[in-house]
Amino acid sequence: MYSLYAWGSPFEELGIYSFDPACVSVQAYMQLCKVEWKLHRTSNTAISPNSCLPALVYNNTLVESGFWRIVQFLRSEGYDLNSKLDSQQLSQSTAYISLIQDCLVDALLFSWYLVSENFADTIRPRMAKTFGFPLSLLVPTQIKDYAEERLRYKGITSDVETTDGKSESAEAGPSGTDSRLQSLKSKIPRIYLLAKEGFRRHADKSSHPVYVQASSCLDLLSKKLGDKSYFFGDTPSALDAVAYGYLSLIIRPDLPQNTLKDIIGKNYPNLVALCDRIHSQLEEPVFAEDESWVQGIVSAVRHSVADALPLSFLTHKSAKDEPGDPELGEKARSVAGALFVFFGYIVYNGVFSTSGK
Amino acid sequence: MATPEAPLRELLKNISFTQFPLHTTASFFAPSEIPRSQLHVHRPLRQSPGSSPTCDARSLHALALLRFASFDVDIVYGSAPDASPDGALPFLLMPSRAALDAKAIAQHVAAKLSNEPADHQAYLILAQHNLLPAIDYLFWVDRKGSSAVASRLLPFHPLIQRILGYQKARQVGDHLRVGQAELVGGTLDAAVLFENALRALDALVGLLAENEYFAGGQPGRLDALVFACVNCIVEIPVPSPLRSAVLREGSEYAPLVSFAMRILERYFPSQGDNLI
Repeated sequence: MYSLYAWGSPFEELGIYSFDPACVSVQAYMQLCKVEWKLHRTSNTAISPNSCLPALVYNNTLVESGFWRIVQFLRSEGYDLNSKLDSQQLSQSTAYISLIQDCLVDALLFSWYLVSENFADTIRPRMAKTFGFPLSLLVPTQIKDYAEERLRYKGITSDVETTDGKSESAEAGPSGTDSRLQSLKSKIPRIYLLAKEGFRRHADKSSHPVYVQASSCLDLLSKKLGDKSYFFGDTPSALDAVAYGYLSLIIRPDLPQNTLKDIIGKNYPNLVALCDRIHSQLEEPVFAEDESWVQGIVSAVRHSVADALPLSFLTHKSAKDEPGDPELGEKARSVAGALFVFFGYIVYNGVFSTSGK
Repeated sequence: MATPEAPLRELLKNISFTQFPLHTTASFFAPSEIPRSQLHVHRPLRQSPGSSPTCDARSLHALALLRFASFDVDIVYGSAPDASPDGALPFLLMPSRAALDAKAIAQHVAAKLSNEPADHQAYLILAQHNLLPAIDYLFWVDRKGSSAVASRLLPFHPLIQRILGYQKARQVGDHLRVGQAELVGGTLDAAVLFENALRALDALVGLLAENEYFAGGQPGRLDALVFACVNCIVEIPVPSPLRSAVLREGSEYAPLVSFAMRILERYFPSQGDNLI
């Protein structure tokens, strides 16, 4: 039986078993292919050579990690959702999967992590509950930091003025009064902005550029789906699994500010129907025992250090290169990390101190 | 009716407390007049007949878009994009003194190249997010690639070149790491980048099939992007799985290479034209 290591979910009662759309996509793919598998909810990315989840393990050996590699492996094992597609459809499937993975994810991250009300009221408390103490102190903030970093690289911030087309002028370039005002505004201390506009500046408005981009992506997807049951006819393909992975995380949870969900519900009923159709076919996965929090906290600390110091030794080689027990190195690192955190805590808090004489 | 406090409130909305209300005077030297639009791009890897006018994929993309839309521009080689709105090459300087960055150039010519099938938007995103990252990695992060290309893209003193190259490599590496499909904490894996690029090329070969251009009889936005990317992969002599797969004898990507060569011959017959 295959084991899928994936991030846990803050919305398990809704039938979503990860907060990461790539993990949900792989889970949907495996369920639609009728693969026998069990789910390990983890926050320890060290299981994978390139430190990303989901990771597929067979007979205690890591097989592949990441969406495309896992799908490729499953295809070679005979579990192919795209087996009935011709070359033209395969080409389209790849293009639309890329569209979903690259465009829709920004809106999802924005809605979950950058809209303050959603993160503070729903996402963070639920994630804290999912990961448990002490990971609850580290992991949600790390994920939020990651989301902010990713969106910042794409020029998306929650501070963009979004009323009545001003976002468009911000997009169009620096010529004009609006852009000068924007650049002036960016120099105003954040505390002043907060005092002047309050939390309204994080308001989740449908005219925000990230939602405009998501709408154009959803528009294309909706046209591609049309009146069909699935994107390429009557049987689901990899594209359907990916669409479910991303759309279910938008459609199913209820957040205080649900702009993205409202956009889809109002304008793209066929996508909602697709999501419901696939969800009705999925069963509750077999769960493996949860990992110890020590492994998780070591992984979280390792990521923090790796982000701060770009040291190559903190990244992992391929698991195939490690002789003997593939988890031996990981266990050793876990123990070393736990000891480091333990003694660091003791020294930092002054539990041990010298008299100074 | 506006209250007496309204102007003060308006002023407060726009004022920045980190700046003094400086008095500005007109510049002593007026900017030089330009008779035609100028596209500022990176230099080519080598200046020989039959090679592309620039070795940077984004610059070549912008140039191809303008050529496809029949916009006549002069090409200016530079490495200090001070006048660029986004601080990067390529950018278009117009006689009206307006400057357009790469994104604005694409929007500027989109109206002339708008007769594209809806599917092409998905393919454009596929190429943007899978081919360009692999080329960025080859140019800046890969040691062999950066040493081959940096001397052309950063024509400065070797020490300055090394510092700027290191900064750029860090910046590009971070950008590629956070742009991956899998969320949270994944390390930058060159093998994954090349696999993604090859998958994108597979899809594009399927779309091009026997056609002359992706959009049919006329080249469009997707043609410009794929031409720029494939041309860079072929022209830059840096060994990589991507280049090996594309240039292998009997390669399945041969139609894309022929397509890129065809566009190069048709739209960029010689480099001498319009060079400044």
